[in-house]
Amino acid sequence: MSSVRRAVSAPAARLGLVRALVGGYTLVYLARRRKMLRKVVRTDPAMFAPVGPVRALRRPVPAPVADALNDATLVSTALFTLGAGHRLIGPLHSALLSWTLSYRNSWSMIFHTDNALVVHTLVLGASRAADAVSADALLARGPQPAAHPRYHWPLRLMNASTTAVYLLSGVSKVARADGWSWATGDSLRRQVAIDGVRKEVFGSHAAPTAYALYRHKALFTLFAVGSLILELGAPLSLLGRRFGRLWAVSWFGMHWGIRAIMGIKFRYQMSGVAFAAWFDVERLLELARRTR
Amino acid sequence: MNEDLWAPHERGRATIFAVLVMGAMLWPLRQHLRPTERRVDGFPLSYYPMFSKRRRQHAHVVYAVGILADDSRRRLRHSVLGSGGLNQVRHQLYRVAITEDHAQQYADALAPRLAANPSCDDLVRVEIVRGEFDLDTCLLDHQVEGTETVLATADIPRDPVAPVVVESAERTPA
Repeated sequence: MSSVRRAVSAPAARLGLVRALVGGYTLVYLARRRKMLRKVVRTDPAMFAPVGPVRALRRPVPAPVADALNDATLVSTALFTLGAGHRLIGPLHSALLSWTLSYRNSWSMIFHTDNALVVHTLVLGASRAADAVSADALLARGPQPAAHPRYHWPLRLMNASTTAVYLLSGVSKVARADGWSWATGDSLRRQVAIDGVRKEVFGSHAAPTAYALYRHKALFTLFAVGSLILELGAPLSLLGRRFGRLWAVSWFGMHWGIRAIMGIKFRYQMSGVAFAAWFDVERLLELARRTR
Repeated sequence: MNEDLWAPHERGRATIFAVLVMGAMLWPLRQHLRPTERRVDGFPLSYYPMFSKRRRQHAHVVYAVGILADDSRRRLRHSVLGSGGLNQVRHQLYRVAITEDHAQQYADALAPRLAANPSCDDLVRVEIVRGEFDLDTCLLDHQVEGTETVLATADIPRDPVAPVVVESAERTPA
């Protein structure tokens, strides 16, 4: 295999394990929210503000139908994670997950934390992500497929879509009327403050770190400049694997920092699964085999 | 079959799919070209409007306050007001009370639900308020106190024979 070919190829196990990780994360995420989703779909219809594919609806579907779709998504998530019947389940699962999370976000509040998960699932569902590390591969009993670009492009696309999320966030910060003033850190500092106040008046608590750090303006300037560099420079992370991994690790740390300061949980990113496509995760399988 | 080969049309389909996905991801950028009031956010494709907002030293928040018999006040927890978490409840309350100007209907619908909630047994009245906060004072003094403007108020019915429909407790009033 030529070096160029090798650079644009990936082992099937890498893509397969990324699928299993994303599916496993989704399964835990949805299972823990099943009760909450049953309540949300029974919210007053006057609060319905459809987004994404749910915009096809003028009014909410009956609650039992929404419950059934939520449960169907849980089942499809389990099959997707196992890599069973992927040719059918992959696209079906990405459609169901898009619907379920869009429906959950159609009650006057959009949770942007799930955007990357939906897009990553769409990519995995449309690719040959179950040629290894899957029930399909076990049943086929064939040899492990060789590394191939067909296992590489979905990982690259997942990474590109992740960078797009951060790029859009960065653009949003500097596209304001006051332009690059976001870099001073004042907006970020106020954002931390208003978030804390909202938590307090709705019976929760602001993160203690928010109170502790608020007086340190220079620290917020540092955070703001750092986040702008990582956001606007996100596409550069696609130029080289090492740089990409450094970028991914930086954001992983940044999300844990946001959790500490603002109490906001970007669960997908904090789990590390959102950044798995940047790494040679199949080595975990070899490690597991060796330690057995 | 040579394993190095792509299946017929496989590479072309992958390319088209990748272009479509990235095009869709970047499509919300066009929102920045529109006037602020005409911008529309979406899911899962967003332009992340929360980062575009200017944050000032003073901020307004709409929330609910429970009044006890001795006139003392207690801010009501988001889970008492509705489901879906703090931010969803906050957005819904703002939408009803400010955007749609229906704060009184919200309070009227909330009051009987509070009557049915054991954690609110000590409340006699509920108020929907708009609080103005000096963020510096709140964070530096570690005290979240603001100036409140009452938008609506409703007495909490305490009729022991009045039946309460369980389902209604799960609904967010409009």
